[in-house]
Amino acid sequence: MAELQERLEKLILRLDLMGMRVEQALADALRAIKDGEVEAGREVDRRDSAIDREEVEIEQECIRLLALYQPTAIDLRTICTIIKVNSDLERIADLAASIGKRVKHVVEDGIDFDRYDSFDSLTETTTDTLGRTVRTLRANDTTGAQGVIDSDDLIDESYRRFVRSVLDAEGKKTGGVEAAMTMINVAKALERIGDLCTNIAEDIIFLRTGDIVRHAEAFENGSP
Amino acid sequence: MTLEQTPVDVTEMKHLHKFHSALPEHTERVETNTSGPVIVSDGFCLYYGPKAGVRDITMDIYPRAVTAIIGPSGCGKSTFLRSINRMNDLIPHTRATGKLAVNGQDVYDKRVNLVNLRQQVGMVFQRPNPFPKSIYDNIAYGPRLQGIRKRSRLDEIVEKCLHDAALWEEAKDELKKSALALSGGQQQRLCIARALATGPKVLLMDEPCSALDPVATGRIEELIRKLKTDYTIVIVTHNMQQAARVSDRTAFFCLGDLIEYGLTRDVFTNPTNKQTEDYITGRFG
Repeated sequence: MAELQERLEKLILRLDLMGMRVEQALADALRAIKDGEVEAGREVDRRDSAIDREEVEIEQECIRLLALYQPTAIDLRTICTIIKVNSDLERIADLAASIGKRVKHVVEDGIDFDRYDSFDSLTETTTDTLGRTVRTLRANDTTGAQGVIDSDDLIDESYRRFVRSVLDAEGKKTGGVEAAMTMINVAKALERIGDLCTNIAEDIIFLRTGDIVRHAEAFENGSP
Repeated sequence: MTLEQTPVDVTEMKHLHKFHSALPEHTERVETNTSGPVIVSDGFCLYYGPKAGVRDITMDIYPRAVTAIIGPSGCGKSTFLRSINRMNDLIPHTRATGKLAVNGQDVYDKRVNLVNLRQQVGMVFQRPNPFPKSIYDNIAYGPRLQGIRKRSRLDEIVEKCLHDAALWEEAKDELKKSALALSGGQQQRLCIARALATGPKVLLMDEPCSALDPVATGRIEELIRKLKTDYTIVIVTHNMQQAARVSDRTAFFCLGDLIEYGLTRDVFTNPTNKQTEDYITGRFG
């Protein structure tokens, strides 16, 4: 096998490992929120710097491969996809870390997420979508990628219901604003993770087919 | 704040707008002319004795564009290129079937005048091959054969061709100097100038940069980009990046067959054929 392909395979494995770490970070952050474990939340934040370092190293390797091998076709699409997915995974890890950091406020304000509508559905759908995103990336599977894209509507819907429920319950309560902000920020992080999973799924479709499926509405014939 | 109160310097905005309008509009490196093809190959085959050099090649080559032919050694890319101006006639026992036409004229028609054909379809080879004559005489050689004797007319042709081949500035004071004293890159540009001197419509280039260093290669590639505004260029290259850089369309040949032909931007990012993908990504070939 040519050296470029060997180095690309290693990069894909590193990206897969990063995906698993990110998935773990989100699961740990949500567990910390539910159990009110402030230290566990901080630990997610601490582990984020390892993911940051990995993201930078993966990107550097991509730049080296572009400069040294001038890749084309599937190799070029693979590198472009890795660069984008790498960045989105790192962003998801940041959002997981930001959820982890908020556990302290959740405990201090005595927030019980279960009192509000759809939080369980929001966390479950987001966790499931991220898991499927990582598996789809590993299998390079366009059908799975489309499933991930479709899940984003469910996440958005759960997010809207949860925010409405929080605002209805806390909006007019004295001192309720801070608690509401903490909850909405956690929910917003989950909703953003859904968006980033969609980005990754769209990149997987590009990798497999060469088609750019995002922003189809911006193009007259439905695709760029 | 109303619109009138917006703290924007309108003069500056107009200046920026003017500046922006002055910038060359970004255009894709794909010719958009709607004129028909200059070269039409329809089921064209060329045999060396019993063996097919190329088989059943069907493709249209468009004017004012660069078409690259790529493929592994022995795939027939040079055979096809050399068929366009019948350079293969020099090889014994060659036989052509199917149709290969330049400007509507079947080049394998028995009535074709080979000298006229090669005036219309110029060729640049892998290694620069200037005649052992002066720079001036290299370029004037073709026009003299065409019967042009008037010195002022020859001067005009030499100057124009050297300009078009981006060699004028370097050579204008040394036109009497031997062409063999030029550097490799300059010699290749001289060969391009010589090919232009007979007024061709089509320029065939058979690995024109393979004997040149990266700087000389860059100059030839720049020249190819300029020349395509006036000429139809077909280039055979082993250098994948060169094909990607300079061409509008790319044809991939393998074992004498045309495997894929399409816009270069598509062939190099998302080829439709697995063999093309394997070749351009270095997995075989």
